Amino acid sequence: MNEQSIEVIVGKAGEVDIEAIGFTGPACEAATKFLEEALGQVTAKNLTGDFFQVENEQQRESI
Amino acid sequence: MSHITKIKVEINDLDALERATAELGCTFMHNQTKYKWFGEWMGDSPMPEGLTQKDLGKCSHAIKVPGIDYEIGVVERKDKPGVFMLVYDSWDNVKAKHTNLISQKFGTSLERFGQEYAIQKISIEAESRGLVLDRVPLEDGRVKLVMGGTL
Repeated sequence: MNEQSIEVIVGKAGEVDIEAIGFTGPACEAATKFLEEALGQVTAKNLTGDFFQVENEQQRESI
Repeated sequence: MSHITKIKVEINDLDALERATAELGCTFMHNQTKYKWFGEWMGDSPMPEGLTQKDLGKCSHAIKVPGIDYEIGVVERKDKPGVFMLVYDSWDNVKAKHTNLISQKFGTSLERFGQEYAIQKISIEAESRGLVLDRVPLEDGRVKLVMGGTL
């Protein structure tokens, strides 16, 4: 498993981007949930390639 | 990398705000229910969102900025109890040769408080979970925080 971390970029006016690194599938969303809840309102969420990785692998196995 | 979340930060933790205040060289005045301002609404700048004229000058706590007479009010939002906003007299007038020292120091929307509050709030969350947090200032003024440990 890749090393896991959470990277946060805090903008000059306090706007925050959170990125989960080294997670696959829905585990990444669970990993950052505590920060999202603590900080305020989520304005956007972009799922990147790794989020779909587990699901796709499972689909391949079932084919 | 799996997902990126964008968040609009809300001030809902007064401990984090107090830490940010200290980090910015100011003093958090607990339960000071009035903040110093001009004292009379002149209608020459926008009214802070959710406030009316009679709310001006009133707050739950205040922030004292060293060397500056006017103060910053920590005002609880009527529409969201438990969430606070920062209010100050933002009047600035070049013609009158009046420089607003608070906005000059922290930005017209007190952006530096917004940034430092977010950093302190994230630090508190990391500490409470025993996570390690690295703070890396970026060249463009943003700050990168890297959280590691048992996530």
